[in-house]
Amino acid sequence: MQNQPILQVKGVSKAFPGVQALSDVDFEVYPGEVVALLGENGAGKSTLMKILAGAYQKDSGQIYLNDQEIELTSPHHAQTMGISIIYQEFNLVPTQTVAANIFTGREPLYGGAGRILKMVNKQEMERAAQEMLDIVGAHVKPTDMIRSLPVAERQLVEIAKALSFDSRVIIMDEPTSALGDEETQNLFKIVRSLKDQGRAVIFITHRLKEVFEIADRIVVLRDGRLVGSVPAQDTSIDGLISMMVGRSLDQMYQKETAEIGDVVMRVQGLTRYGAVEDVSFELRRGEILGFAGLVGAGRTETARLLFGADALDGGEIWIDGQKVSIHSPEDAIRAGISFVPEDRGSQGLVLLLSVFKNEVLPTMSHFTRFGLLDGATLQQRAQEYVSRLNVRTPSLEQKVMFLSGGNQQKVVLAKWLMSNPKVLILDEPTRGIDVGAKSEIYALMSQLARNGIGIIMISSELPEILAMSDRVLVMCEGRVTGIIDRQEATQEAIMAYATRHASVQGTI
Amino acid sequence: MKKVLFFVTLLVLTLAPVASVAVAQDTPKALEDGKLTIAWIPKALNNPVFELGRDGCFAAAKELTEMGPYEVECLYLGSVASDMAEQARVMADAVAQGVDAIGVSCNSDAGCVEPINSAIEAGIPVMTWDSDSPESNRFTYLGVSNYLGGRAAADLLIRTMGTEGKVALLTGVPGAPNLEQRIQGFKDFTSKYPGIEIVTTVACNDDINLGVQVVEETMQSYPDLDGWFFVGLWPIFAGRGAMPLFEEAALNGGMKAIAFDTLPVELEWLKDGLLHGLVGQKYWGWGYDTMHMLYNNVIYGTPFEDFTNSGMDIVTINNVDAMATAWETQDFTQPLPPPFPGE
Amino acid sequence: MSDITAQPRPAGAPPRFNWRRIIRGQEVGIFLVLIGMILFFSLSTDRFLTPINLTNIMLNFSWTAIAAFGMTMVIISAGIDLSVGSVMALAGIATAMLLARDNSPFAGPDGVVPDTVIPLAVLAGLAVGALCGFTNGLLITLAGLPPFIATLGMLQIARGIVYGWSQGWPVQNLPQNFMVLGRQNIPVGSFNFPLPTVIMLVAGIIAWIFLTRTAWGYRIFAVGGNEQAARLSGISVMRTKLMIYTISGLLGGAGGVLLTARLGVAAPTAAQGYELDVIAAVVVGGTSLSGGEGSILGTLIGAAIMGVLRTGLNLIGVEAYWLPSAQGIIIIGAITLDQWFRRRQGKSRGFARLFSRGGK
Repeated sequence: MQNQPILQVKGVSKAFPGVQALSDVDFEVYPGEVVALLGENGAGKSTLMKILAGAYQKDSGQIYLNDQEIELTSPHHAQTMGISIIYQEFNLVPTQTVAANIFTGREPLYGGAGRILKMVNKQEMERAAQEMLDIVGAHVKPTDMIRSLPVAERQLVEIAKALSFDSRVIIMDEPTSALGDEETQNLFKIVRSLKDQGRAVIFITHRLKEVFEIADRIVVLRDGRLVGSVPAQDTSIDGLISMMVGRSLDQMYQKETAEIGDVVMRVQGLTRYGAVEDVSFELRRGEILGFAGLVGAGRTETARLLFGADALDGGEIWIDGQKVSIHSPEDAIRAGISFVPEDRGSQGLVLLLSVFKNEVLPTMSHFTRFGLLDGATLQQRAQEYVSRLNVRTPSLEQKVMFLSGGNQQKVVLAKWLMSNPKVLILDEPTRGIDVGAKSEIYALMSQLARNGIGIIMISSELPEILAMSDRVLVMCEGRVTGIIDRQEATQEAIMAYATRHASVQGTI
Repeated sequence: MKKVLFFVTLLVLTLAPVASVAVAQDTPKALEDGKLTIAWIPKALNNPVFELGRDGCFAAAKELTEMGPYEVECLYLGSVASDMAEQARVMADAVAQGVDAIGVSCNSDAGCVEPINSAIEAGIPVMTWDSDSPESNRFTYLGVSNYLGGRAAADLLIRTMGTEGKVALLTGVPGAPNLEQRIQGFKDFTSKYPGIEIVTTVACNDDINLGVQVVEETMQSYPDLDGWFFVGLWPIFAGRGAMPLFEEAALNGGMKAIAFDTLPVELEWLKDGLLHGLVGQKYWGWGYDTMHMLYNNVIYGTPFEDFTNSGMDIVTINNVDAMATAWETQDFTQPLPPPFPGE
Repeated sequence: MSDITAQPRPAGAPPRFNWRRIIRGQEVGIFLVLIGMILFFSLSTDRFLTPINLTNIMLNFSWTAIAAFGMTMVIISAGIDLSVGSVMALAGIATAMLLARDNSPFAGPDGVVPDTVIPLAVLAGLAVGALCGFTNGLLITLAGLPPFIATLGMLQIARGIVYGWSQGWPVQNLPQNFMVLGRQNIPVGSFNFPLPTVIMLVAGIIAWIFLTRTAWGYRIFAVGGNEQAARLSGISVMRTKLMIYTISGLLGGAGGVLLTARLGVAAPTAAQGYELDVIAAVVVGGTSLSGGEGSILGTLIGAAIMGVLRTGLNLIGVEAYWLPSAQGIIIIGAITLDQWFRRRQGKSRGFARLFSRGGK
């Protein structure tokens, strides 16, 4: 490692309407160094990285590249200066080829008249793209369409694109959040080789374990301020968490025992061809029923059937002993079922609308006078739930797009709690949420169970399933392969059920 | 004899596709089926004046059929809205259908050249009416000179208003050639009178509502306006009372207004003193005369000059009743009395 | 940081009227554009700021605004209604055909149509409009067509029916008492408000309350902002869209009936291309074409801008040949200016600071 930082920021601040996203942050990264950037959602990580990538303009402070002060005016400008960012949601055009995406806007041209006519030299472009793809070890062809590639491959294309700019600083925003273990290891291999080439990598993540595996140094932000910068070998997960939230790990899973009551929901033979087959279970008041399984096991599909979001091909549902027929979310809400979908932005919330409007959407029609909404009562209720769930928002009128992930999730929860559900279905309730908000949501789940609500929690994080569930229902390939009591639930037991169906099939 | 006729007919039918060019040019023409189908194609079907032409077309067909020996049919074809591309398609369809002659009002003079010429190459004589395509090989154009129409309107205005005053013009879509020619004729005629000032030209995009609005706005801008030339009749379609400022000035302010066309609604306005002169094209004649000319050309090979003047109706308070009678009886064959007595 | 932790205003407090909030509202930029235009035209010609001209301008944008209120809802729902011009014409023709002297099925032996038919004919016009809109809604929800395609088809279908019913001729000779609807002025003090303007304002207030104070209105915003999330919140997207397009058709029909009453004639070519004026009014008024955002007040201002602009340019004597260019330039300028205001508001509330001493 050299002593000269390749990229350095001093005293950078940035404000958005209603939020001071960054205040007076110092940060630097050296050639050949991997820096992990940690912090809760809303801590300012993304804002800082977007400033470095030229996507946002800082309000004050300085940025130095190789000791030269620079002003980054646009993402393109940053790229040409050798700083690339790879976003979580990727910046690729799905309908174009890998090669065209890597060389967007600077396609190699033919010489002579071709240059004037801007005729793209496709062979050359594909050859150059192949070269970059080889470096990152991607098993895709330059002529493949982006939309036909799995997420992990798309990410490699993004990295190849960054390399094609000969970027000295590569920023990755939660690169592993959508990857499996093997893919993650492959990515780390590439990160290490980038490091060996003397490039600097800045790595944003929520998975603390990864940090120790890959990072040389860890920088923690909280509430837009720099909390600390420590060498990776000098700290521990617990230490990092207390830096991030100011308290320690054992307080995170707030499972409290609730009184398990009568059966509130009974499901018999739930089927949707090609997705869910013959799913049956019972859910009791005050119970948290964990849904475990591999990705694609049919857990979300089952939840959507229960909520009427997809059409049933067969099966029956009873609520409080009454058979209910559910053909739409409206029916489900009327029957007392609520559903917090896994993707807040695209399914759970209308991001353009205010906290207030989002909260009252499912329930507002109960609060009308002469056809007009009873604004005062609705405001009062919305405010009550905002306070109860500790949603941090400047006002009820704030658009939810300006809230952090954890607060957005709390708005989704508030919206459903207002409907006074008997059954609450939570699909990956803590995905992409920072540690602090996570523990608040666990506490809330416990409290709701105590109040007699039956909760179904779909989760891909086994520790979460194990800590929070009273029983665990395991699915595999659309079928229920096992229901395990809390006492017997172990990681191994769950994994055995989750792969059982597959292995049985494998032996045929 | 009957046998011979049968064989001749058979021969003609067999050879018809091959010989059609030659047959069409033979005169007088022996029509194989005793039927003469003439396609009469207006610019668009959504303009009521063309329906008058259609009535004339049907009247002529009836008349010619009664005269014998041929059964004459007027085939009324067109696109709904004015569109040259659509019209070209309609003409090609007519050719494919095997009509015997085509009379067309062109949506665009250049755009009409190719469809007209390919019809003629297929042996179908074509003439234009109302709107010409001079570069094409059509054998004649029946129409009024819009330019002369504009001059006639200027003459009418000066006779009613005098040789001094502020005048405003209302046009439809700026750039429409027939309207521009009328305006040019009007301006050329009035330019001889230094006392006449054309203060503004407003456009209404062929929209009645917009026509009403811009006329009223112009009345606000120029409360002392002395004369109007409506290059088309758009705002007059609106019922009485839609243009209070205009009506007030025309009835009590000594303002004079001249309009193109002679539809019944305009005649009523004229009788009520809201308009003071009309220059009309002979819409009915568009169909009636076109049919007669095509008939004569196909059957007798009658040649026509490059331009056939259809004439204009000049209507004032002095002959408005005769025009109204023509509308009521749908008989436009009688000449009108003179617009100014003693001429 | 204080903003994040700041406590929201006390629970249960009714929404207060707050002029500062109004000024921060999204309509302010476009409202200033309108004021600027009015100032400019007033200074340019003394014919502009006269009672009669103001009456005329208000009259002339009334039907555009009425149709635009419906279009606002459509666009907030992330849709579009291209059929509104044709629907205006169809509703107008339907009403006129029931009222035309001699030709109405209700005409007495003397050809006169009794006044009692007038409300019926007006309702028929509105019903025809609503039916067109409902059909649009069915095509969009049941057949799953994109709104652009469904309403483009309806544009043609409705226009074709207009031509077919009228056989190309304008329908004239309507009863005087019907034309009152489009021509009567309501004097307020020394100023005359045209009846269509009053109707437009009433429709606007109803539309505004509907959009901001009813569950239906909230659903429109939700469907436009995120259809998936709206559905998973228990909103019937299909019913909401059916309603939106029906309202758009109904209001288009109302505009068409008023236009017919004002002109005293229903022409088959009436309102051709008006859909673009209507959409322009909505967009100038700040409603986002991508859905989820927009307001009735903005649309009203947008329609007013379009009306003031056209009349103003005519009054200052812009030649007919150049008028479209002048209109285009000014509309683009107005939207650009509005965007700039909004960005400033979003950034630092600097714009609001201009109005509230001491800023925040």
